[in-house]
Amino acid sequence: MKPVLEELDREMRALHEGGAPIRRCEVHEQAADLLGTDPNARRFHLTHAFVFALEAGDWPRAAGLERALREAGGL
Amino acid sequence: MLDDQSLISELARVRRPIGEAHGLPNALYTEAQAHEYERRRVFLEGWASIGFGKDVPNPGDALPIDHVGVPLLLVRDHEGGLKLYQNICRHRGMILVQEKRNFGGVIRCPYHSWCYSLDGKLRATPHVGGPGLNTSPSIDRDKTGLVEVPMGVFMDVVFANVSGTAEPFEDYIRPVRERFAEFADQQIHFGGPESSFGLEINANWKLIVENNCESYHLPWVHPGLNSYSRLEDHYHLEVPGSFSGQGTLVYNPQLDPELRFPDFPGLSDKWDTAAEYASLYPNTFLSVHRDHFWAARLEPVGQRRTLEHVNIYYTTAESAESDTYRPLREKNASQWCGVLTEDVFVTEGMQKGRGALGFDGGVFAPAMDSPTHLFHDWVAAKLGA
Ligand code: FES
Ligand SMILES: [Fe+2]
Repeated sequence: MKPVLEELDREMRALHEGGAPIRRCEVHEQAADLLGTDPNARRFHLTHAFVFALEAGDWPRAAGLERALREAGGL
Repeated sequence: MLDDQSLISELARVRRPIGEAHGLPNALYTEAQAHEYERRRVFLEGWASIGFGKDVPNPGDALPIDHVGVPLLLVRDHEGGLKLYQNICRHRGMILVQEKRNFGGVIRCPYHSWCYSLDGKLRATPHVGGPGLNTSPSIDRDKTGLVEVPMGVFMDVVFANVSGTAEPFEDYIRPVRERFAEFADQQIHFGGPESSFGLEINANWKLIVENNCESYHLPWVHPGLNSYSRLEDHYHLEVPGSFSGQGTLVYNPQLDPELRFPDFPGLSDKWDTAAEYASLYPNTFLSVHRDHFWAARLEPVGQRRTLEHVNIYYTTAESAESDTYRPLREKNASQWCGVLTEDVFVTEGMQKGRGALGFDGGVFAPAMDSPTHLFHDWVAAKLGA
């Protein structure tokens, strides 16, 4: 794994205990970008980012992610 | 083992005129099967109180409630309204919310992260069509929202009819709303943490209701209430099929030589000295005074164990919240807690008494026990007698 991905992976695990949905959303947005060449990986991380944006109540961000997911064929 | 035939005939005996009637059969206090039957008929198929609006004061607040084993979720939505749902995810039935918290956004199921908005709509179904695919032809989001439970609110007490088969809430609440018409639409203000207390009682919930219904015991059990406790200063509240209880003609609060709680505006003269204590069947106590109101909810956590949740409300934000009134609020709460605690040995003692073999439910003193008999009669009717 590239160091930047390892770093993201570490953070995802650390955040797993709960709370901080906005940060979790951001981490998955980054992962979606970094892994964007693989459509499956991108859809996967956009899905998580979308869920955490909803959980945070950040509606504009959730709407943007929903659009991105639709364009990526995940919705 | 429960003998259905004898239970039926014992229930029929409850419904006879008070002078001939006996109390509810012993099985309803001691036998698991009878308890289960009562749980369904009385608590799930009818209306019962499940909580208080003040427990979810802010938009996004969500309170999980175990209502006689049924998981419910009380939510304050973003418009400030109350919603009541079954506290389970429509996917695999996971409990959605395990402890009280505030939701800024959706409610996310902790299992596979299906997300519900506070209005109950299913908002997201992640990976439901496979990794990264968030739709599935077989899952119709519009039909898979949270299940709403019929609810109603009266003087901040939240009631639910879990089965959805009871009469409309307006019909259920009408008799007590009429009786307390001068209070029902008043603003009430919860008195904060010092105005809330709970009792854990090792007795069946019905014994606590029947004790709350009657004034017969006052001079014997509540010596400290001497000035309020003279029997001749009390009268019965009797509305068959809805509530019963007692009223006093000599309410005269003396918590402090100088400071007094302000009264509700516009009350008629009757309330200068009257106060009334209604036991709204099955499990709610509503107690009105000119300067405060308290409500209690009985939570049957087992056949022989009940939690009593008591909350006191005042007539203005100032008397409910300010530091000036805090000592008075504390005194009022501790006085009520003291009175209700004095009743515990009686309700627990009656529960122990129900262990006697062949106890026939007891008899009623027609002059003094008619509110109690009305309650027993209501239970018997609910159980099909
Ligand atoms: S049980 Fe709730 S998402 Fe699966
Ligand atoms: Fe009492």
